[in-house]
Amino acid sequence: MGPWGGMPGSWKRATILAIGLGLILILFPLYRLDPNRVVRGTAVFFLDLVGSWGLAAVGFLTWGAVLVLAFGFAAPAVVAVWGLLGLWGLPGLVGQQLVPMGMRLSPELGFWALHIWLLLPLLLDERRRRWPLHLALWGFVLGVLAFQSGSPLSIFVELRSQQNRLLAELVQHLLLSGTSLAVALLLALPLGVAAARTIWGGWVYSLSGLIQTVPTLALLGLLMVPLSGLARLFPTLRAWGLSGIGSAPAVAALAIYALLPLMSGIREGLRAVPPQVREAARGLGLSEWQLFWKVEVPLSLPLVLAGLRTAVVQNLGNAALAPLIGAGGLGYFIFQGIGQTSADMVLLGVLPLLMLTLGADVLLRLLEGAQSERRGHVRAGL
Amino acid sequence: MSELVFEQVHYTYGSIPAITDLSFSVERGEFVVLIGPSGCGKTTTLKLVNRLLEPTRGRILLRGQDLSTFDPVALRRSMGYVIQDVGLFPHWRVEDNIAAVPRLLKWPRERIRDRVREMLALVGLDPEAYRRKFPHQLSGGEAQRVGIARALAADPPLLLMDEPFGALDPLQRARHQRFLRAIQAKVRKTVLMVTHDLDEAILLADRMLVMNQGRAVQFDSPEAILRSPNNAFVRRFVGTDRSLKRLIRLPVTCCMAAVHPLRLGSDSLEDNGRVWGWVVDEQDRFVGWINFEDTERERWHDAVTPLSWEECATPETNLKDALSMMLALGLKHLPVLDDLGRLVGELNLPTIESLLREDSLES
Repeated sequence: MGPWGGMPGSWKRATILAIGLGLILILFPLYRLDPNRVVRGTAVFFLDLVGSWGLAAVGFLTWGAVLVLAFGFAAPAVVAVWGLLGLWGLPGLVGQQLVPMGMRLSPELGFWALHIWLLLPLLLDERRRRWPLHLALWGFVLGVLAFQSGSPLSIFVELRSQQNRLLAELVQHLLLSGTSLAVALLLALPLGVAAARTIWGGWVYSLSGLIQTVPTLALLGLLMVPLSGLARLFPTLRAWGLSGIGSAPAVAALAIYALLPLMSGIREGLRAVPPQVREAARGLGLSEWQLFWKVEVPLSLPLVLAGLRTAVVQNLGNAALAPLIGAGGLGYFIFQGIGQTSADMVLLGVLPLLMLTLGADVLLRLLEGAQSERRGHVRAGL
Repeated sequence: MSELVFEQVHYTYGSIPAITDLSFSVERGEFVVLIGPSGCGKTTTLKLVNRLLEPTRGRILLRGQDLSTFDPVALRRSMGYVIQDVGLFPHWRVEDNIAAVPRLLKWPRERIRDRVREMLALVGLDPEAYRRKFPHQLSGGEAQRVGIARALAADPPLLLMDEPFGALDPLQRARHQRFLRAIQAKVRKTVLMVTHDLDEAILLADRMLVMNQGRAVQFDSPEAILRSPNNAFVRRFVGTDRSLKRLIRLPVTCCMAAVHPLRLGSDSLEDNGRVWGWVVDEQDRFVGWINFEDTERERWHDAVTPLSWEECATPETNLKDALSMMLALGLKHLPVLDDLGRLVGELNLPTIESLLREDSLES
């Protein structure tokens, strides 16, 4: 029996978690007090906070410990929510009076290290449950939004100054993704069915696989030439907004990229329909139309939805490249931030993007889960 | 009028002839088994009947009418179809699977519901227990029964079956063969069944169509084919044990002898000239047998040699199985027990031997 002898596993984990938290809090600076966006200021350690914010920080830790004891079974999730809320929310809650007017608190090494340390137990959950992770992330998002007004945390300072722009780029991002996905879906439905059944459909499928190997950036560039050519040839199209740069090539490129996961979902879904089920359906007297709608569509749905999820997540991420050809979107803040070496600006683009992707993933997974439950775990069937 | 007639039907698959000059007719209510080595065209023949395939040449008549004049989809709805892999719709419950064809035929809802229950009961599955299950919750045998219920649901006059028991283990297969015979006795359909299992064909068929390389080789009753195979292929196919195989169609009850067992507790051992006897208990349940020689009269109860149920026949056992049991166990007499374990008769080796001799004399 080792030094942990007799201790239940959850307590072992809780102890390791607590020791790690303590070490990070003591050794690494959490924030940096900067006079403005460019000039680097002085590091702020947790112990400094206990000194200046005093009661608030200690109270926060105590309340956290109480929570852990109360929610023993969900402890990692509760600790994560509480810790993240503290990191993001405390500056807004008590920091306004303590941070001099016009100065800002930038996240430092300890800030990010704590994120990893707090979320790791949820990511490594041995029962492969996903809900604690989602609980932590969404609880954190809502909590942070509640505390952000007047917060001296640099990301919120940036957010306040860019609020209108952020909203506009978010809408533009959603428009780019939504339009391109709609176009891709319209194309992929017939093409995916054709890919499963016909030779030429197989060729289109291989072609979309080939396009997938072209880097997204290069595809955006390649599309500029034919689209600007089209706009020159047909003035009506130009009047509708078609040109070599802007939304048109971005939507086209994103749609082409989304084609492969969508098509392969439909193709694999249809190919996974057992041949004997198809033969029985025909033999019983289902027409080809009935065979498709009553048997093939419902049986292929789980794989079609999986393809849709891949396409949506990938599409939201790819759309971040759109600003490069003047199409805007959340990528705007990423490229602006890189240009100005402002990490806060980059985060302003990355964090909403992360939430969009995770949100879409969760919703589509729920849909898939509901499907397979309703269909009585079709894959296990005969 | 014959239910189904093949007139010089040819079917070529690409350039390979799968069916060549096939002519035969099936009467209403007849159970016809198509049999032959794999690749002989038996499954192709079946698919020509429900027009999953179309003949290259020749024609097929259903109740006197050319098959090609029917709408294929409507035609298939009027025929039951059972395949080896069952092919139940995995996303539908058992009741929806069975209701498939009635729904396509737009039967009223209540009639469909009643029919589903009736069909489940017919195939020996409790309607309430099985109605709401999904196919993946069924065993192989249960799934195949649901497949048969689905095929029979719209009460089609013609039933097509392609190796329906091919995926079952030998024990299950024997059970389902008996069970199919019982169903057929009730519903009296015209059945066209494909198999490569000769014993199954002999047991079930009214007539067997032996096929080889896309041609019909012999079409006759199992007895006739076993007695007089009409060429070298059939003789080889039915094997050298064909007189034994004839016994498959005969149940034990056809030559069972009456018995006068000793009853434990009541009977006393008398000298009746025999050297041994069967023993039953007070409720007539079978216990075993006893050797009269060197047995003390007063203590005969202790001298009974028990026999397990595996060493006994039932009235449904066929003579071939009974014979192989006798040979394997070294018994000249086999007890026959009913469902409750009561002794109903015995089977004697000399009787079977004389039956086999008669056969060989005839042929």
